[in-house]
Amino acid sequence: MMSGSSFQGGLFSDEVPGKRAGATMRLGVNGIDAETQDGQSFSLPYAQCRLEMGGASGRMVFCHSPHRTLTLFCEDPAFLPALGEAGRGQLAEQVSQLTQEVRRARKQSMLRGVLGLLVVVLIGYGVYRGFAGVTANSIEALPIAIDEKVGKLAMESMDLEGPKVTDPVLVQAVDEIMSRLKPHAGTAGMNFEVTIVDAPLVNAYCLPGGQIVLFTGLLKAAKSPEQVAGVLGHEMAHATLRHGLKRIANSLGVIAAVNLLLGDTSGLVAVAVELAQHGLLTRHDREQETASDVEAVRMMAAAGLAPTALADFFVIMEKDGGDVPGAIAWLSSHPQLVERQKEIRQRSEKLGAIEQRPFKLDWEQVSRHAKEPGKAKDAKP
Amino acid sequence: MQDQAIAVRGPTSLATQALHHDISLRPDFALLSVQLQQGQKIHAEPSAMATMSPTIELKAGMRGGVGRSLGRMLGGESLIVNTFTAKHGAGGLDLAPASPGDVVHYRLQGNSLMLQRGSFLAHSDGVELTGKWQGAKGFFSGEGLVLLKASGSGDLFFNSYGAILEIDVTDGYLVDTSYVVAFEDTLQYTVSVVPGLRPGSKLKTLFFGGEGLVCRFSGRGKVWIQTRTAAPFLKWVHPFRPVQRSGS
Repeated sequence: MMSGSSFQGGLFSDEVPGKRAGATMRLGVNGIDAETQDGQSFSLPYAQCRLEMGGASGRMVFCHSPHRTLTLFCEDPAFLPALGEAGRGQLAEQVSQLTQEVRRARKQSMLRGVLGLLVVVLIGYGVYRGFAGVTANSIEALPIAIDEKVGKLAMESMDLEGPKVTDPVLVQAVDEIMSRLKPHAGTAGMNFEVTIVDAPLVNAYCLPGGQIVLFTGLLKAAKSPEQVAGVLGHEMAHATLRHGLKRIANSLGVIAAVNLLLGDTSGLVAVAVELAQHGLLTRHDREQETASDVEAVRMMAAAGLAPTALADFFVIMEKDGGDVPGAIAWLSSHPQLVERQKEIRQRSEKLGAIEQRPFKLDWEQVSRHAKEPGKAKDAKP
Repeated sequence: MQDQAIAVRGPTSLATQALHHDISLRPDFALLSVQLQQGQKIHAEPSAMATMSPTIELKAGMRGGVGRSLGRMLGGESLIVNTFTAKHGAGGLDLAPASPGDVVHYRLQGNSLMLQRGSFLAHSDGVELTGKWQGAKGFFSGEGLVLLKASGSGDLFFNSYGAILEIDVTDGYLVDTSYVVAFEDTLQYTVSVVPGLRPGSKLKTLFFGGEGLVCRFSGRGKVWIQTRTAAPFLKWVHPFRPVQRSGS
């Protein structure tokens, strides 16, 4: 900025009424000239000028005379650089010092801001965790009838991705597996119902209330009824641990928590249907998957089945993942297979020896029927 | 600066289009009376108008656009500012602030004045009123994150709860945050806990009280403080409130 530029600001002086006045300042050859709105003129030579930063914004430049009998001030951001250049650089040193101070102050205030933000985020996270705890507890207090209602409506609105299977061999096999598991379910009085769907997907899922969908692709891929029992036990656990409702509550947030506490579930059902349509109701987070594995291990052991069968099924998935068509479905909705296998085997070991009562099913026949439900021909004995 | 803040009567120069005004019934129930010449305007907070001449026209609007209006709202004022114009000839109007207390006039000369939330009453043309984000200072002050900032050239009227003291700060000065009404832009300020408290008490006041927090002013300029604040008064009145008993 060239000498001679004018800036709006003000001045402190005993010579003006009220000791303060607004003023227009010009940077002359030898000093700063200021003129108040009432026409009083003041001059401050550069050689006597002491610079200082301050004011409410922290960016106001003050120019004091030696005994502070006159102080000129200006908040225009161009004022300080202009002062540095004015009067053949007489104030350049003071200006560069002030500029450094301003930068330092700005850095500090930024740091404080970031720290403040961090504190706010941490507090917010704490509140969120607390809220998640509240929703989980309030869901435990709800009657199972709500799970059933939500599951039934979700089932109706879901695309099953294939025809329902009525092949008696498959239905009876699955019924037998379920009858072994049902008495050991974590929640009494839940009506588990398995719908077998003819599709190459190696997958199974459970909706709230115990509506399980099992694809023939999974029956084909499984090497034993115990492995299917492991998967079904895992899916039953999602229902008994009420993972679906907890997921809805988390998706809905505060409104759901209030609704749940007040007992109004109409909104809940609407959201369940919405989530079901997007397939989100059957997808669980890692915490929920692990919890269901643990519960499946407990149920299988209680039912006289080797809990490691579930881990064995994971191995098949891993090995044949590329070969089995549709295996990607199970893998995408059930992540972290390696760690989960380890966890299942460790928990099985801790349970010690189990008096095993294997299924008396002809699994080869079941596999054959799974390939062509309703059409497979069985050799007469 | 012939018309200092504490001055009651202000026959100011016509050249600067200053407002003829009178502040009466001070300091407890102050009333601002303004005489407008034809075409002259005053902008006031909604519901402040008590009386006015039939020559004056009232128009409500978001002065200064959405940005400035939102700033004002965050500063504890209304989105809307009422503009009174002496359209059909000269006339007068009386403006009354919401809280019992004093009213102060300040003449802005291209500088700024920072106002605590809720203390704006009215301003003339040439003055801009907006919010000024306070960041951490506001977060811990207990008085809101945004201060009002009045800048430009013209007349500004602000009000307090209780009477107003004008303090000329020349070096350092401490004021409890809840007592600050306004201060000039030449003053630097930080918000801190009252010096001398034990660390435990400091934390307690920081997070639970709001009491004991002070504005530390430095530099040179004027600070206006009020002699009462509303919150302690409400606390004092509370035990005497009639309470409806439950049951019969």
